[in-house]
Amino acid sequence: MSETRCVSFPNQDGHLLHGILHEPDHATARGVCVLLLSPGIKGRVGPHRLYLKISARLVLLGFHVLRFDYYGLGDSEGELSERALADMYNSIQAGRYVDDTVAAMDWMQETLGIRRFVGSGLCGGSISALVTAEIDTRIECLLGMGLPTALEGGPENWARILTKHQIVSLRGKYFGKLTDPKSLMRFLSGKSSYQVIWRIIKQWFSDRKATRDAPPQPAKSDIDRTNPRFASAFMAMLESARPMILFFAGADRLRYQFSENFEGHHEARIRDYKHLYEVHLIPDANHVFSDPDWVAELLRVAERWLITRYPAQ
Amino acid sequence: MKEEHLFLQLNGERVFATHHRPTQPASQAIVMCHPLGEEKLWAHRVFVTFARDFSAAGFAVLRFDFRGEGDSDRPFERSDFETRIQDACLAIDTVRVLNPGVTAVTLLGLRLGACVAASTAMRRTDVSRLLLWDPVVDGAAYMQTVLRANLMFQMALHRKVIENRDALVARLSNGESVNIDGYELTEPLFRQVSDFRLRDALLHVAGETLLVQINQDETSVKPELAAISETTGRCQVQTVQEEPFWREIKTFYQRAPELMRVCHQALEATP
Repeated sequence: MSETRCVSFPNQDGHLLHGILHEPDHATARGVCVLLLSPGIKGRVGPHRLYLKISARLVLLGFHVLRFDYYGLGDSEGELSERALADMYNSIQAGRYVDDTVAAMDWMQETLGIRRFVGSGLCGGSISALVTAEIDTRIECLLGMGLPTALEGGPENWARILTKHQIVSLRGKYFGKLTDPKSLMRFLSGKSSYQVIWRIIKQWFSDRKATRDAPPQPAKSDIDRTNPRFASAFMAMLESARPMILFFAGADRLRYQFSENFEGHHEARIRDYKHLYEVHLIPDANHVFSDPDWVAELLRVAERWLITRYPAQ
Repeated sequence: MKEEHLFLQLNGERVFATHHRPTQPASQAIVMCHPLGEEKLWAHRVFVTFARDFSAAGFAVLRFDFRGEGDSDRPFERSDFETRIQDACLAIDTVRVLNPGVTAVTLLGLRLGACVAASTAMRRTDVSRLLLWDPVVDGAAYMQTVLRANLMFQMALHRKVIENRDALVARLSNGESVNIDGYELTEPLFRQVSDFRLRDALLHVAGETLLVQINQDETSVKPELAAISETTGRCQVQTVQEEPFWREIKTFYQRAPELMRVCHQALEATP
C-alpha cells in the first residue's frame, strides 16, 4: 500500500518547511524521489491540485514524491520581504529556493536513505529544480513543466523580454490603436510603453526588409534575454549528461521564450547536446494545463519518460 | 505556540488540517473556512499569517482543506456544499477535542467559505460568532460568476464562446462537469450553492455575526450587506481597505492588517 503523510524539516536558516510525502508500496519502490517543487504562491498543491494528480500516478509507479512549501510560502515558516508578485517570482528564478530544495534532499537522504532525485515542478518549481541541479548532482534529471527562461516582466523590463512571436502578436493591437484618441493621449502624455512600441516598429521594418531581400530566416536572438542563471544551469545539466524533458503549453509565451530567447541565442553551445533534452509541446494548452486532456497527455508522456530512465528494481 | 499538521478522519476519508496551538490553554477557538478553488490558493498565505497571529494572541486556530480541495481526499468533482459543511463540523469537533478548555468557537469564512461557515453555524449550537470576509450574499449570482471562468477559458482556446452559460448549466443538469480553472464543477455543488442566500442563513444563526466588506478604496457599506444586517439582528457590517487577496493581483499579499485589526476588535468583544 502506498502512503501519504505530513512531513516537516528545517532549512539551513532553521525555518521549518512543511510538506506531503507520497511513499510507494515497498514492493514497487524504485528508490527514486520526484521532487515536485512549488511553483510559488500556489504552493505544494499547485494550480487546480495538479501536483496531487501527478503524485497519485507516480507513486503507483513506485516513485516517492515529495512536495513541500518553500519558506515564506504556503504553510512553511518565514516571511518574505517582497511587495510585488513579480519581484517574488523573479527571486525564485534567481535561485532563492535552492537551499530549501537541498534541505529537502538532505532530509530524504537522512530519513529514508534516498539519494536519487528527479527535479520537477511547474513554472517556478521547474526553474528551482534546474538551478538546484547546477550545484547538486543528486538531481539526476529534470522533468520541467512551463520552464521559465526569462525573468518576470515588470513595466521596466517587459520590452526587453518580449519574444519575436509576442511582438508580432502585439503589432496588430498597437497599430489598431493609432486611431484611438485615448491611446494617442496616453502616448502623448508619456504613459505608453515606448520601449515596446520601439521594438514593434523595429521588428516590423526588419520583417519588411527580410520579405523584400531574402527568403525568411528562423528567429535568431542577438541579445541574451534569459534569466542570468538559466544558461549556466541548463548547460551544467547537458555537460554532465543529465537528461531533461521539458513540457510546454501551446498557448503559453514560455515556449517562445525558450525557443527564441534561449535556444536561438545559445544555438552553438547546445548543438551537440540536443539528444539530452526533449521538448514536448501540448497543443492549445494554457500555462497551468487546466484541461484534463492536457494533464492526461502530460502524465502519459512523463510516465513513459521516467520509466525508461528508472526501470523497476 | 505550536503548529501541527494532521489528517483528520471522516468516514474513511482524510481531511487535511493545521492546528495552531497557543502557548497557554485556550478558551477561545477559531475555525477557518477557505474560499473555492483558485481563490483558496491565492488567499492561503493571509489565512496562515492570520492563524499565526491569533494563535500568538492566545486563540486556538484550526485551518483545514475541504475535501476535494488542497491536500484533503476526494476529487473536486465529488465534493459539494454539503460535504464542505460536514468538513467544517469535523473541524469544530476537532478543535474542541484538542483544546478542552475552549468555551467559545468562532467560525471564520472567506467568500464561499463564508457561506459554508454560515450554513454550519445554522446546524450547531456551539458556534458563538461568525466572521464573514467578503461573503457571497447570493449563491446563484456567485455561481454565474464561477461559470464565467469557463467562458473566458473558451475565449482563450477558441477565440469565441462555443457553449454559453445556459448550455453549461444544461451540461451540469445532464450529469456532466464544467471545467472551472482546472476544477471539474458538477451539478450538486452548483445547485446547492445556487440555492444559498446569506440573509436566509443568518436568520437561523444564534451567535453574533460580523460581515466584513473588503474594498480596495474607502467606500460605504453595500446595500445588500446593510439590508442583511438590518433584518437579521445580532449582525454588524464593517468595511476594511484591503486588496482582493483571493485573486491574482500584482501585490504579493502575505497579511491583511486592516482585516486583522477589525477581527481582533470583534473577538475581544466576545463574552
